[in-house]
Amino acid sequence: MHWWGSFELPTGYGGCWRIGPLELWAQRRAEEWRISTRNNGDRFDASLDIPSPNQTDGSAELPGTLARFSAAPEDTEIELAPVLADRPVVIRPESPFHVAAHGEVTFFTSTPLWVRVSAGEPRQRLIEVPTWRPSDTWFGPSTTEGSLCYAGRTVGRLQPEELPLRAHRAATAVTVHNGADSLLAIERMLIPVEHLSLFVRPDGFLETQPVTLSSSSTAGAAFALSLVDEPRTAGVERVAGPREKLEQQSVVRALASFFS
Amino acid sequence: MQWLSDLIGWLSIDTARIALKVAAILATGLLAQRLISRRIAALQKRFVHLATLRPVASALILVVSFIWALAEVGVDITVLVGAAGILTVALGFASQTSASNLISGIFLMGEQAFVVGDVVKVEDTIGEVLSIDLLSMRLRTFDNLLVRIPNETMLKAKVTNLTYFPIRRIDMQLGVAYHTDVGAFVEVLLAVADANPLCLEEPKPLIIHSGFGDSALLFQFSFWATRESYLDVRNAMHNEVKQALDTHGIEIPFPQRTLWLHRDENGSPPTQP
Repeated sequence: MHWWGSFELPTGYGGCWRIGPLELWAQRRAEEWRISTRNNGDRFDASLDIPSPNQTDGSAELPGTLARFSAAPEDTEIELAPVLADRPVVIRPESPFHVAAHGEVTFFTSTPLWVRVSAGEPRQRLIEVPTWRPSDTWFGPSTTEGSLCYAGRTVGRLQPEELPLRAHRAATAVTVHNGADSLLAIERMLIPVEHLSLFVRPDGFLETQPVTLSSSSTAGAAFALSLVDEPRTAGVERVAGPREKLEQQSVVRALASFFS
Repeated sequence: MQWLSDLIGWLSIDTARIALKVAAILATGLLAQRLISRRIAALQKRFVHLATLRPVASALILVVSFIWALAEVGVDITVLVGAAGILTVALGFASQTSASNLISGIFLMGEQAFVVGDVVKVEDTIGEVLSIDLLSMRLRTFDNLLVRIPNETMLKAKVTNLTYFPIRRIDMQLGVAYHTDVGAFVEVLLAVADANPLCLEEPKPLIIHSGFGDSALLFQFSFWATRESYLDVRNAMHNEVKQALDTHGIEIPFPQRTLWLHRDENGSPPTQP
């Protein structure tokens, strides 16, 4: 059973989810939904608790940050869905890595998920909270030009089996292709997660489709971003589409050795 | 059909033709003024500075139409032009400051160093730009006061746009006791920055040893935040740094003086010189 999906909560009942560092409570009271969240800030927390049907008393006071939403009498179902971050995530290899001329390398990393809570018919989004709030970071050639991103704390690994798997994170394979005639130094990489889809593997963990960054020039840090909307591993099922669709191959500023 | 012949006869007279021409010129002028005014109003959403040009453009079109109509009627406009010239000189002397403000406003518009909505600092005044008008600009200070600054002053003064770039650096000045382990102190500060998600990871926080003060080792702790979260991060980081220093027993000393007491070899206090 996954932590996401639709959960029946009649009036007077509630449920509690534990998804990594995030605790989420939902209560169905007369005329309203009450959603409360709390985060312990431990990004290594791999806890996973999914409520049994009608697990908790819907009249209990909720800890954490509370949000209230009106509910039609016939709404007794709440839906939790995993979504990727709303901004690009910047990851880095363990130490600066050099890609040989005309060579390529694939890094494996993971990014934290957000939980989208919806209710009603048709489904309306109530709130969206991160399972773990990454730090903000700036990615760009200078402090006047660039974009606001999240700082991924998981280093990019060269072997997929080295990547720890957690229920509140999604794995991504990033391939960097160096089309130039000289070494390419990589200190940080930008993963445009807002353009990626989510897939669930047979083992229950989530992953995105692979990302390819290709450069044919020695100058600058502009790379061609290639995305195929197909997962890397076989036997997976699509869970969510991208927040923002990327229609065609896009040139992005995705690699950096700035601010040195 | 007599009336038709009378009408045709009347239309053939020059007077009627001239009257029609004048009416056409004035109508065209009014129509042009309306069209251009509407076009500028539509462009104002993108280029807010055009608000100051709209009345000027409207007046210019109407005046030109009026003078052209007078010329058709047969009025000697050279007299008018001459009178206008004298009037202009008189007005020019009387309105030097206004003209300077107007021209300064045009230059400011062209430079685009700030737009409506930006937060700027002009001399000692900090506020949000509410409007950039023909002769002046208006700021709303953070304690909700309206400040009007002539455009000429704006052009001459040093203006700091606090919201031009998307990220800003915050500098915190700190002093710690001389007996402090500097390495541990630096680690504490970096941990505080690392723990605050609104404190940007890149550009990296920076710690500069400013010098050796009278009472403390002086440091500058610099870190970055987005312009939207600048105030929140600044407040939070000051509080969090204080808490972290207290937790780790790192002292921020009060101003100190060291008093040396001397006695001579007999144990007596030194005599007056």
